[in-house]
Amino acid sequence: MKFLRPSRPEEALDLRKLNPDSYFLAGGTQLNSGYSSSLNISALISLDRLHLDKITGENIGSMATLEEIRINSSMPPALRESAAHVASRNIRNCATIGGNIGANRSSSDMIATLIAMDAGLEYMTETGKKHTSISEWIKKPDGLILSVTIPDNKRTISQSRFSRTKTDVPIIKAAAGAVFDDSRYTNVKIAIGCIAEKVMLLTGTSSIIEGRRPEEIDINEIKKTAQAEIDPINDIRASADYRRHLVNVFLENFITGDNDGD
Amino acid sequence: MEIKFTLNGSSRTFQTSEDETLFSLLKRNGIRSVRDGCSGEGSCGSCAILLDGKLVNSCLLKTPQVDGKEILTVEGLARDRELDPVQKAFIESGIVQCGYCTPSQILAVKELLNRTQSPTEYEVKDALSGSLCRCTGYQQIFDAVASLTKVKKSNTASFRKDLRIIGKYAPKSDSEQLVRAEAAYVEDHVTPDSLILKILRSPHAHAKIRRIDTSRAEALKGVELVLTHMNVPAKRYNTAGQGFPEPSPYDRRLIDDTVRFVGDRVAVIAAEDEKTAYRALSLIEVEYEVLDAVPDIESASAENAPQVHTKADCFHQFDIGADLKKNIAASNSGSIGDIEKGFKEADTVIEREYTTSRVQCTPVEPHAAFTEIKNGRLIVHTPTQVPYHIRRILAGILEIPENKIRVIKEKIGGGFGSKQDMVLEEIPAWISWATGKPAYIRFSRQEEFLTRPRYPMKIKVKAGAKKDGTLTAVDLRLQAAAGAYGPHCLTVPMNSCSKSLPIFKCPNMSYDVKVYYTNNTPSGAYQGYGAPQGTYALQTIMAELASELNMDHIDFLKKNAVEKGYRLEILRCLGEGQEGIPQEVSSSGIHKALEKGSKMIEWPKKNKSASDNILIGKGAAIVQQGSGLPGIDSANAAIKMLGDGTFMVLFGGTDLGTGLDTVVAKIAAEILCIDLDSVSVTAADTDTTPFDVGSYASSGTYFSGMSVYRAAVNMKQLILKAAADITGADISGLRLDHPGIVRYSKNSLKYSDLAHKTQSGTGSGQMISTGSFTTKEAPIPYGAHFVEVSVNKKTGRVHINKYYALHDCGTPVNPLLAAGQIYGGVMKSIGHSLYEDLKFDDRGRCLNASFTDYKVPMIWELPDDFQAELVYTEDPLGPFGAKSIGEVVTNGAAPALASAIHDATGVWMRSWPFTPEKLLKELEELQIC
Repeated sequence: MKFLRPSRPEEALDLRKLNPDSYFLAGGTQLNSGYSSSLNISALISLDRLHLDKITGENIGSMATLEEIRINSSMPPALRESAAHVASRNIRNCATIGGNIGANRSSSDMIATLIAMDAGLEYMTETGKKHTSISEWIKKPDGLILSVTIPDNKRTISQSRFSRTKTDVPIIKAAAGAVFDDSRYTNVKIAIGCIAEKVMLLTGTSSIIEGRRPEEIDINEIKKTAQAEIDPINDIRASADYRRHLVNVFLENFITGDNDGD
Repeated sequence: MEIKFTLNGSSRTFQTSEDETLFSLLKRNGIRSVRDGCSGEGSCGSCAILLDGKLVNSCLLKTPQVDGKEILTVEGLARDRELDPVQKAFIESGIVQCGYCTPSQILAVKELLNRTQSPTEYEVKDALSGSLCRCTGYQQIFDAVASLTKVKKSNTASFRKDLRIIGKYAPKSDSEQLVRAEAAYVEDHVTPDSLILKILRSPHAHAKIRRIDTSRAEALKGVELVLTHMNVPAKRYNTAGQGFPEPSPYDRRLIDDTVRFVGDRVAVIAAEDEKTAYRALSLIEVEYEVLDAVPDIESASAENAPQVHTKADCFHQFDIGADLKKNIAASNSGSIGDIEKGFKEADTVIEREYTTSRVQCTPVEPHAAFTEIKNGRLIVHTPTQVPYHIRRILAGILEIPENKIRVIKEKIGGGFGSKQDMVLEEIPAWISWATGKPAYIRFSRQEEFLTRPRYPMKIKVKAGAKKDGTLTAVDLRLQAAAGAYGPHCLTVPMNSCSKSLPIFKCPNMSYDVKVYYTNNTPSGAYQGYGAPQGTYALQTIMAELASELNMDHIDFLKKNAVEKGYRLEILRCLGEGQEGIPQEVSSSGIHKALEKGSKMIEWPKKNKSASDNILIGKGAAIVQQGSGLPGIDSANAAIKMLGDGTFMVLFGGTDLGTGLDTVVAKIAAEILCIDLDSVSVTAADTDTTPFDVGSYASSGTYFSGMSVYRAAVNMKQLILKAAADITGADISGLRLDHPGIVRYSKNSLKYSDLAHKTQSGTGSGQMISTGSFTTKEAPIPYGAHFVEVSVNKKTGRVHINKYYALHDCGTPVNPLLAAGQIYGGVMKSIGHSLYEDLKFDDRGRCLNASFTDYKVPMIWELPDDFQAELVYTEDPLGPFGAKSIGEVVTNGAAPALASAIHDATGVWMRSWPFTPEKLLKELEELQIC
C-alpha cells in the first residue's frame, strides 16, 4: 500500500486517477479501522497538507475535526450537537466532517443533520470546483470534498439519534429542518439514517409539510406518507418495525416540538 | 520508509511501512502502555495516546500520519521514580484494577485537565468516552479528577477501629507497576523468536472433516508446524479449571475430526511471524461433510435430534446426570420439605418463565499464552485464574509429570471467569513441547467473542405465599445451553439454584436443572457464575408475588429473607456433583442493607416525572453469593522472614486485578504487627508458591486469605518461640507489637535482630511458616440493590436515574477496592440487563462478534446517581470477619431493574436484556404508549 501526500487538491485528484483502488484519507477513523479491513486499498491519499481545516463563518473546511466543530461556539447548535453525537472523544479528535460525509454511510451522525440544515458542499473534480447540496452529493459522490457550507437561513432544526448505548451505531439518526416563516414551514428537509443503504431524504413527507402552518398539519398523514416512503432494514440492533416506530416518534416530535422527554 | 516524530519528549526517527499502524510501531519500539482490546477497530480506546496534545486511538492512525508530530504516552509521564499527579490520583482513588486500560484513562484525564481545571461531570464523561473498561465501573474516576482539582479528597471510608490495617484503604500493591505500564501482561514477556500461532476455524456449526490437506501451508517458508486432528493426541480432556475430579465432562480434544460450532478448531499454524501464519491458514484445504446441527435447546431436546457428543468422545469423572443420546450434558434435581404441601398451604401461587441471553465476559485483554522450554521443562506464561489446574490438565494432555511444567500467572487484563478455563494454553504448550521453540498465541477480539459466554437459560419458577407474605413453597426449573462442549455444565446451573434459593426462609423448595449440548459456542464461567440468572428469575418472581399479594416489596423481602443463625438445609442437595453441606447463616446484612437502601432511595415515595412521556419507577432486589466452595476448595500459603525482619508471603491464589495480593499482605501485616510496606507477595507461580485452586467462586479473600492468615499466625508463634529462646524470657510473657517488635517485660527485640540471630550460623534457621485452609462452611455475602429508572413510553428506552448497591462483605479488608468491585460488577450486570446479547444466524454464525456491534456499557451509561455502600457485619468465619465481594455484586441489576420498570410501567420484563424494542412491545400490549 502506498501513502501519498499531495499538497494541492488538484494533485490529490491526479493521484486518485493514477491509483485504482486508492482512497482519500482524512482523519482515518473509518478507513484505518480494522472494521474496514474488507477494503482492498492500494493507496491512501492523505489530505492533511491541503490546508482544508479552517472554519470561517458559514464555511467549514472538510478537514475540520468533529471536535473542532463541537466546541466552536460560532457553529449552529444543531451542527455542534450532531458532532457530539459521535460519542467517543478519541474518535471526534481525529474524524473530520469531510471524511464523515465522504464515507457516505447511512449511520453517519453528520449527514442527516447537514441535509436538514440544507447544507451545501464545495468539491473539486478534474473540471474544477463545484457546488451542490449534501443531499445531492450523497446520491452521486464525486471528486474531493473541499468544504461544507451552512446557509444562514434561520432554519428550525430537530434531530434525534437513537442507539442502544451512546457510543453505538444508531438505530436511527433522523433530522428535519425547515424555515419557519410567516407561520408556515418552507424549504422542508427530512433525512433519516440507518434505515437504508444511505441516508434517505423523505421527499414525499417533506412536501406534505411544505407551505403549511403547524395547525394545518395532520400528523397521521405525515406518518402514513413517511411509512410509505421507507422500507427499513432489520439488523442486530433493531427490527424494521421498531425503526418504523422510531421514525414516527421522530416526526411527531418534530411537528409538536416535543423533545420526547429523554 | 522513514518518519520522525517526538516521542515522550525525545525527537526520534523510525523505520516503518506505509500501511503500519502507529499502534504497531509504538509496540515494536517498546511502548507497552498502548494495548489492543478491539483488534484495531478503534472501539476500546486502550491504545490511546496524546497526539499533539489530543487523545486519539493509535490503532486508527497509519504511521505516515504522525510524521513531524508530538506523541505522549504514559511512559513519558513519570520523572524517574516520581509519578505524575494523575498517576498518583488514580492510585489513591482505587481506580486501578486490572490496569490494562489504565494508561489510556490516565492520558484521557491528562488531556481533560490540560483543557480545564474545573471540569463538569459531563466533561469528565466526555474525556473518558472512548475508554472501554470492564473492571472499574468508571465511577471512581470522578474521585480521581476531584482530588486533582482540589474539589474533594478521595473516599476515606474505614472500618474496624480495633485494627491498624484491615478495613482501611491501601493502594493495590501492583498499582504503581500498572500506572507506569511496566512489563506486566503476557504480551510484555514474549520473546522475539517466538512462533506465532493462528487457528483455522470451522465455518460450519456441525461437520465431519473428510479431508484436510496442509501440504501447501507446510511448504510455505517460515511455517514451522501445522497441527490438525491427524497429528495431535486423541486424548479427551476437560477445559474447566475446577478441582479434580471435575464435575465437567472430558469432551474436548486438542483438535477433533468433528467440528461442533462455527469457530471450532480445524487446524493450527505455527509460523515465524503473523503474516506468514495468516498466509498459511489460507493455503489449507478442507473438505467437510456437513451434519445436521442443533443450534438451541429446542432443537437439541427434540426427539431424534442429531447428537452433539457420543460416548466415544465424552466421558465423566463421576455421574453428572448426562444423557448424550438426548444431548443432555448434565442434569440434577432435589428438594427440601414437601413442595406440594407447601403450594397447598399458599393463598397465592404464581408461575412465571424468565429467559437470559448469551453474554460475553469481554475482558479487554483477550486470552493469550506464551510458552517456552527451559532446561527441559515447559514454562507457560498465561493470564489464567487457575495456574495449578492448568498445570494438571496440561500434564495429562502432554503425558508428562507435573514437575516438568511451570505455570506462571502474569497480570490478568480482566478475567471475570473467562480465564478460569484452559481456553488456549494447550496449543502453544503442545507446540513448544514438540518443537522446543517458544510459542505465542493471542485471540483476536472476534475469537474472544466465541469464548465462554454466560450460560443462556430458560427458568420456570413457581412460588406460593400466604396472605401475610409468608413464603410456603418455591419450585425452580431451569434449562441451559452448554454449547458444543460442557465446561461448567453442571455447576453453573446448580449455582443458579444454590446462590438464589437459600436467601429465603422457605421450608419447601425444589429445583430441577437440565443442560443441553448445542452446536453453538461453548458457554462457561462469568462473574456471578449462574447466580445472576437464578437471582433474576427468583427475585423477579418474588417482586411479582408481592405485587399479587398487594404487599410492599421491601416488606415482603424483610419478612422472608434469612437472618443470622438460620439453618440452610437446602444446601444439602445443592452440592457440585456431590452431596452439599448444610450450614447456618454466620452473619447477614440483608435487613440492614434493606433499611439503609430504602432510606437512600426514599422508598416507596413516587417521584413525579417532568414529562408525560417519561414514567418513573423504583425497584429493589436482595442478593447473595458464596465465599468459595466448602468441602471442595483448598488454599495454601507460606511466609518467610527475610534477613532484615521484613516478610515474603508466598501463596497460590490469583489476583485478577481486584487486589487479592494486597488483601493477603494486609492480613499478614495486621497479624505480624508490621507496616504493609514490610510485606511483599509472590503469588500464583506453580514453581514457587504453594497449591491453591485459583480464583473463582469468590474464594480469594476467604480461602487464600485464610491460608495466609494461618501462615501468619504460625509465623507469630515461630517469632515468639525464637524470641523466647534468644532472650530466655518466658514465652507467655512475650507479645508482638508494631512496628515489628517483640516485647517482653520492659525490654524489646526488633524483628531485624531476630532475623539476624536466627539466620546466622549459630541460629535456629530462617523462620518459614505455612498455612493451609479447607473448610466445611463459608460465610455468605449478602446485599440489596435499589434502583430508580425513567422509562420513555414512546421509545421504550430505560434510563437509570439512581443505583444504590449496598453490600455486606463482613469486614471490608480494603474498602475502596471493595467499592470498586461493586461499581464494576454492577456496570457489567447493567450491561446484561439492558444491552448485551450475542446473536447468531440460522447457520450458527455469530453476528455481533465485535465491540462495534456488541455493546457493553461505557461511561455514558453510568446511572446519574451511583453509590456503592458497604454494610458492616460481624462474621466469625473469614479472616478478620471478611467475606467475598467479587461476584455477589453482579446479581442485583436485572431483578432490581425489572421491578423498577414494572413500578414505572406495569410491565414485567421476563427476558433480559430489556431492550427498548422488547419493552415497547410489552407497553403496546398494555396500550400504555
